Amino acid sequence: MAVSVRQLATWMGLFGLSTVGLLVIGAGPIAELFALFHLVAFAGAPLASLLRQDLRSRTLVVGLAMALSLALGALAAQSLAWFDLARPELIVLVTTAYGFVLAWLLSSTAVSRGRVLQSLERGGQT
Amino acid sequence: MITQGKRTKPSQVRVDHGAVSGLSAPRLGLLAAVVAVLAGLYAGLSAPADAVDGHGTAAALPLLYWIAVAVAALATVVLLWTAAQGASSSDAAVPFVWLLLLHTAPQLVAENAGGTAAWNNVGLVRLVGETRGADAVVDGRLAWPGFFAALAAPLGDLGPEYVDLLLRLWPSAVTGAIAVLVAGLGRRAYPTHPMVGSLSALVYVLAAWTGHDHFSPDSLGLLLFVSLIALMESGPLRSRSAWSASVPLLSRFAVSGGDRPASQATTVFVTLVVLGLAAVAADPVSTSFLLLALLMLGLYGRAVAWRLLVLLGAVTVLWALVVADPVWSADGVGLSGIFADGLDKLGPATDQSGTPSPAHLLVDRVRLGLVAAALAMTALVAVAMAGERRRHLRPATPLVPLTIVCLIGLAPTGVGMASITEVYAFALPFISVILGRLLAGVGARNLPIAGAVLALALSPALVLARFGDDSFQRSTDADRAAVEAGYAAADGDTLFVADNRHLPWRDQALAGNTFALVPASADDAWLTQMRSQASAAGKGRIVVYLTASQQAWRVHGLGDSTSDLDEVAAWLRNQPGTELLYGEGSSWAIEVQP
Repeated sequence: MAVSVRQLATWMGLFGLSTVGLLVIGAGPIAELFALFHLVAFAGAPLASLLRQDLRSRTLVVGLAMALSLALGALAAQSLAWFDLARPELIVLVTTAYGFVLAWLLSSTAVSRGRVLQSLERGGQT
Repeated sequence: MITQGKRTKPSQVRVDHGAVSGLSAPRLGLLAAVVAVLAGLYAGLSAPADAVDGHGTAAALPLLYWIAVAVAALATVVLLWTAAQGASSSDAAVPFVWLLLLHTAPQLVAENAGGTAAWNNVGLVRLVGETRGADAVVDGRLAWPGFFAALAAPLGDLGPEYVDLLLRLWPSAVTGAIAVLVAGLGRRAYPTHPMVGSLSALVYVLAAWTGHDHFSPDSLGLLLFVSLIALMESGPLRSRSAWSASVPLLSRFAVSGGDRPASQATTVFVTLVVLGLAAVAADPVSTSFLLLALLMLGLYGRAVAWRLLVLLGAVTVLWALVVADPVWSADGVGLSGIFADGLDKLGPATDQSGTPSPAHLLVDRVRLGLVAAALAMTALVAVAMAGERRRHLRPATPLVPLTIVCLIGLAPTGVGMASITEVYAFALPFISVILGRLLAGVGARNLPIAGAVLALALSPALVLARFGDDSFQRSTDADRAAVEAGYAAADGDTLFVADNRHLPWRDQALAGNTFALVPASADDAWLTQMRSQASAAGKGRIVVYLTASQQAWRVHGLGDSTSDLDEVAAWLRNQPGTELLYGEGSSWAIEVQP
């Protein structure tokens, strides 16, 4: 089953929000393990999956997803630290937002280009 | 292989191995690999932590571990052979077998995973979690706070068992992720040689002894550095892109090739910017290597490198002047002091005034031998590549120039072990791909033997170089308990004192307390020096740490086998105005009245 970038971004967003919820209610180690997985591997997955056609390697996409997750988390924490807001819940929330918004925006251009190409292939007008 | 006058790649030939009783050669190889990994991990778990001696973790690994290494060599032969015959693509499993054996299994031996530096970083993470990132804006090694603040989120309240698990898995995860990226670099640099990717990853796993994978901003910076270069060189931006063409001056530097759709170029560029900005925020050393590499890639013809260089260079300068300098000045150091410290860090190791023990010297010589062997082989391959490509203006891939530009870091800073480690860590991903190409060129018949011999020959050297001196780099459970006992009563008015820096102690020192290194000796002059330091710092309490890891540094790092910190601790306890806070084995926390 093929998963689109936007679907993956949605799942990532829901997972991130669930993690924030668990952190807010103080769910202990479960919440922190969710957060660890999110910040180390999952938050950057949609953005990395945008490049899978260029990279042409699933393992390379996984490696890039890890690097991007850590990068987005570090940038989120850094930007929050400037405003003295580097709380765990907010770090996870902002990391999720960065990953989600970037993947959603960047995939939109790909989607519209795909529609244009499909339309041209059908001989229709754009 | 030549068939009817036409040369055919080995990967295009399918061989019917005639599976006998269901156990084909690829399955046999995978079975041997699984057995080797399980035996290696079991050997790591079952080894006694107190067996770690002057030769570090390498000395504590039992015979079963080395049997597992031998079985892994057999698995390597089978997997590479079947892959070279085109019967399977299981060569990709080879680097991960060695990753688990050489990087994960030894981590299980140590009493505390990750070493003293990693535990210092855990302390900083804990402090960031407690202070919400407001206070610990800089740690002892010039790292910037984003990495710690982000990890404080999940680690802040996690129990020590989870943190311990993370510290044990972190090095393998970072090394594995970099190996995957190296494989991608190899595949795209040499698309006509299908096995170069996995062979490059194998070489990286076999040669990554530097320890730049422990829980630290350094390892994150290295991962981001390799990610960015791998992404740039994996295809999308190797040719002129739509937005580079918009700047005529920059497009002059672009190599010719098909343009990418603008949206895809934008996606790649945004990804590169995210990785680059995080590298700048993670670690200044990674930033300097990254800027150097981008400069070289720009000169090489990668148009996007100029834009990234300008963007990240401007962010770095702004960051240093606007954000970092005020913080560091408040910390009493300032930008000029940080810069001087940075040069000192990159220069020859100066913290070692004595004569190291024979065990420590052996480890250093093995490390230098690995560096020399890798560089010599790279030089040979580079010369051969230059010969093959001499009709072109430049070789097909910028791997050799990237290696050279990373090695340039050695020139102004001398050839001390610290700078060699730093430079080798950043050059190794590119060296690995070049050597992976060399290995792939030995031919389908010889490749399995060459791969297995290389792995067998490098395994003991890597284990010794990577885990050989950690009797002082690692702290024991008692060391940590002693530190915690000292912290328990710290209220911002404490001077923490140690003989040397080999213990996990720095996090509370940043929370209003302070710390000092005062070489320990059983005489009044030592006491007087500590008290004068406490007076100068305005602290009303002194806590002295004397631990097994500090004693190990004295013996193996300084070559001082005569002094005994246990005797110093016994003398100190008998002095008036002292109180024992913790004492077990060779780990002591003693309070001294100023």
